[in-house]
Amino acid sequence: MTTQHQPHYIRFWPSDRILHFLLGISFTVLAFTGLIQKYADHGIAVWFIRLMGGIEQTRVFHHMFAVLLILVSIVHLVQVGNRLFVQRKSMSMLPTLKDFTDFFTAVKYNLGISKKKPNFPRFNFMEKLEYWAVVWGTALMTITGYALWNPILVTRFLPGEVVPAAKIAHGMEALLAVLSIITWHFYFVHLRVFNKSMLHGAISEEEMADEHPLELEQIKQGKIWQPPAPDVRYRRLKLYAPLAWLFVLVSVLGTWRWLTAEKTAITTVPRTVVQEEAYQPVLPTPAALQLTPVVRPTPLSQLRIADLSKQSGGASLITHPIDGERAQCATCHDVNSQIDPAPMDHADYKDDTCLTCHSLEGATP
Amino acid sequence: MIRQTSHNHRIFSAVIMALAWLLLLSNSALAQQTPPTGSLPPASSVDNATCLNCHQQAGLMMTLPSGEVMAVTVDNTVLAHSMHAEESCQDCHSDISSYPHGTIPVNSYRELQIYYSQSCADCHDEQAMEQVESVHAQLQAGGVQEAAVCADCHGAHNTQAIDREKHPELPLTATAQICQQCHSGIYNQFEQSVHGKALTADANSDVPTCTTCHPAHSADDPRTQAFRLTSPELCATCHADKTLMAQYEISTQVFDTYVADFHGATVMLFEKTHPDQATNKAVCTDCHGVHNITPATRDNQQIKDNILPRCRECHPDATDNFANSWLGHYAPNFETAPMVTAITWFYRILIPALVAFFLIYIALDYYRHRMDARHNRKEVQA
Repeated sequence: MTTQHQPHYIRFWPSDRILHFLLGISFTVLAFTGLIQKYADHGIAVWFIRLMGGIEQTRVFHHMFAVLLILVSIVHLVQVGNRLFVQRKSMSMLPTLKDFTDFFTAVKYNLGISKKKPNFPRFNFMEKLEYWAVVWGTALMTITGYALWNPILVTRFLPGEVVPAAKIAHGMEALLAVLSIITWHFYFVHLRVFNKSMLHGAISEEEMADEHPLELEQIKQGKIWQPPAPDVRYRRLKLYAPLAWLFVLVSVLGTWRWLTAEKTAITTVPRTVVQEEAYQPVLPTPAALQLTPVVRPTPLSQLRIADLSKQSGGASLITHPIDGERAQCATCHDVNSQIDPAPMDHADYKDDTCLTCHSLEGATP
Repeated sequence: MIRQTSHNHRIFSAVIMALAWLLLLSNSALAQQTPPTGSLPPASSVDNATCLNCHQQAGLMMTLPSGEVMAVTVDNTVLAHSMHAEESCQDCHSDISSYPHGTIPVNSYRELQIYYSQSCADCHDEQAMEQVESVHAQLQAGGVQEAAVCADCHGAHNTQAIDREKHPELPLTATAQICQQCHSGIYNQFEQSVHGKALTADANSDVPTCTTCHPAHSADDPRTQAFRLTSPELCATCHADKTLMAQYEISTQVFDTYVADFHGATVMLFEKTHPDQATNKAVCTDCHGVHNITPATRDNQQIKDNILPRCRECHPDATDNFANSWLGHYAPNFETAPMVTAITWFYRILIPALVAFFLIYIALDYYRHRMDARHNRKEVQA
């Protein structure tokens, strides 16, 4: 009974688990930084974008984790190549006709129509569906992402509509991927049973019987994969290793070339600011207007003094009533005044002495 | 003690009230005594007649320190027809109360205009507060004397009504004509634009005039990054208004399609997260022009020809194909963008179909899983 619960059926090697971890990280960050861009008109998206330091920074994060995902894909391809050509393991992830019959058997069993349980192999159809969805999704996101990253380069060879088409496909595929993960993936590996094989690599016999009965039966019959003899392995590696390294080199260089293919779609040239001359007055404004200086006309007051003095034997007449404000003659008729100034010799005269000489005869009521 | 105090309080406030009431009565009595025609109400210390006694004399001149000679004759007929006919000279010239007048701390005529425009705030404090942050006020504060002050638009002794909202009898072009006084270059462009033509030639009140985008008192500096980032929303105030645009058969998708694109999305996010962010991302005016906007119909070749050079300003390697990646301000359909539309529909069907399949299968599996577990428990118990 205890051995049945002990996880000792290996599902994932350490390299698988590391790659899965990196895939999980990059997928999560890409989905998060991507979806808030797709739905950027929503308040919560703006909040997250602000949190990450703005849209430009959000795009930088998105690009960084896109590169991580591409590197994970490259390593995975090398890993798959090694399993097929060097280790010669069976191509257990390829979809087969049996997956379809398994699906119908499972549906009938779940509905209670049939008592026959589906006899799942090493990878059941739920797992294959998910694996190939990730492969398809990553390929599509890489291709459309390339078009969005390098739109000018791409439109040198392809019609312009490719760019908005890539944008739609990129966003929609992302939505599909996220929805698939939170339904299909979360249900089968987290909710139905909490599958810890991505943590320690193995599952128990009980889980094997439930999810991979066919493989369990084959293992018990001794039909298990045998590693190749060291010399065979060495011979195969001598061919595969250089090819794998070449592939890594080419694809990493290709990714680098991608990153630097064009700059103007991301770091565009600074805007040439055309400074319009806003101030173009129709008429010169008063500040600019230099009125032609005119010769100061003889003050009216002086003319009047000359005029009035003729009538009153010297002293000028007062032309206005002297009530209220106007009782203080010096307010207006100080010797320094500009209107009707008193002569300089009147400088010390007080207001109450004015009427001695100046009469009110000229005052108009 | 406390009671005593409150009693005193009551007496005191009653006296104050009575005095205030008397003051009101006497004021209204005064107002009734004042003849409505001609003569002006008395000012605090000097009445207008006293000022006009001298300042009505023709040819009265004053030389300013700058050498400018300024006429100081006030035409009473102009004053009497102005919005301020009932005001006292001292309301604005509050620094003059006697003769000889004190020195006014200005060198030139322009400085005098700026100096006396400050007194407008004494009565129009609301408007004065509005314009503190405006581009004109900021330029003035920075020493640019040409920048408009109150009197430049409203006049001095000839203060006129210029607000069409309060005075609908004014021509539609009233504000634009005032702005033209200093911004004639921009006015000439505007006059030829789709908006300007409608305003000046067709007297259409739906189109924007200067102050629609640059509010008279609170106009922001249109050269700032913040203004650039908010400019699409400014255009959208009218161009996303369905009832307004329906009359002219103009698409209201312009703003949505812009925001859905990279440029628009970036600009909108900059505006929300970093309002002063400098950006070369295209805004409405980069393709359509600012004051010289032309009608942007689908077959306007001028707009089409504009697109590629515009792209190249920021993307020097752009080709014709690249310019075509902008699908215009219309939602894509099978005719205009077959690839985009096909992909959109592909996913619109695939996503719900696939998710529905997942959920149904999961529901079935979960049901069987629980049933089996219960069955197993019963067996164990048995």
